[in-house]
Amino acid sequence: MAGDALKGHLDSLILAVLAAGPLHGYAAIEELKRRSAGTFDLPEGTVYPALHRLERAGLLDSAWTQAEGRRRRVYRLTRAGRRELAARRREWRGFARAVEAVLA
Amino acid sequence: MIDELGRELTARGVDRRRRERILDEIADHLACDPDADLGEPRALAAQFADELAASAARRAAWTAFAALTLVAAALLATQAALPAVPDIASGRSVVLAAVAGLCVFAGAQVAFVAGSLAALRALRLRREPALAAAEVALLRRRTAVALGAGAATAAGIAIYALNFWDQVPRWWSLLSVVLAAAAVAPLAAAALAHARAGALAVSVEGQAGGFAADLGPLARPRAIGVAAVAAMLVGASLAERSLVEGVERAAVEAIAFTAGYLALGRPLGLSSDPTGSPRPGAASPSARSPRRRPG
Repeated sequence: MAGDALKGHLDSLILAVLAAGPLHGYAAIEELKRRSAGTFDLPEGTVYPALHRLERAGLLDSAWTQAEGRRRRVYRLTRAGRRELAARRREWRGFARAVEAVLA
Repeated sequence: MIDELGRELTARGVDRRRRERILDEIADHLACDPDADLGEPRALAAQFADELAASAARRAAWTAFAALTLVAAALLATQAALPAVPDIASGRSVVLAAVAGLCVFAGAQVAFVAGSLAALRALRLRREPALAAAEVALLRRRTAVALGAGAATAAGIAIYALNFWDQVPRWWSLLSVVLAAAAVAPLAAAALAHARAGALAVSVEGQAGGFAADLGPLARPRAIGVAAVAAMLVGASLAERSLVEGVERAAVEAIAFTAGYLALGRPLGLSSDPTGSPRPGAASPSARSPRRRPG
């Protein structure tokens, strides 16, 4: 999928991926690829600014853990993040229905 | 990759703590997949800096607005509690009295206008991940002017109380000095947030929205000036029960508004500015997919 088309939805996709449970950056990206069957193969670096931005907005929080002797930042959805994800899902479903109705 | 990214983040003003966190996260990512496509270090650092600058500038504007609310509360409390206005010549110094009066009269109005405009712009752009460099600069100018004027107002309150220490009740002087001093901490916190936003280099090209981006069809400085002068005329005439007093104060307001507009109109983005003011009703240029400058 073209990067530009994905850009507007990246935050929603990250929130959705983290809804299943806490993940570190690499795992979140891998999960994004897995769920989209490789369609969302974006430059992986762009996910980190989005994770930081979502955390600043209070939709995620994060903490350091240790993994194989390295520091690893693990992100999880906050309560506000869950509410935001639910709102974005509703918005997306309405939009997708409308597009489908026109295209079909 | 890590070293180059570290250099780029430093060059763009990302602070040490944030930088170390980013580098540790990227190092962990590369340890998981040494062939990962993380993009160019320069572009990644620019994206971090741009987004951090946007959120820092917005936060500074809101912090400044909150601090100015406290200054306004201090000003209103002291003005409401003052039993009688002393004669200007009865204080320790007429010059000090004039300076205090100017600081309070002009400072409060400039702080209100600049602080409100900064907060309004920050609110309107709250969902933008990154802002054009010109937009960040305008937000920061508005915040800086608001903070400077707010500090002048707080100083004016304290100077006034000290100048008329023996002419007004002691409790009032103490109250004024304490409230003015209490306003310093939130103003300093806002100034710190403002300085943090300024440390970051923004690479996003594009123009800042003009006054119309703040108030739409109401963005008519002359009409606002006329309304302010008329409000002063009516308000002062009624409060002082004297049309002459009302006219005098309205004249002072007209001079202050004109001087303020001439001096601060362009830096605050009120007049047709070099950053490119859109016509009323037009979308903000910053909302029209700003682009990052190469390098």
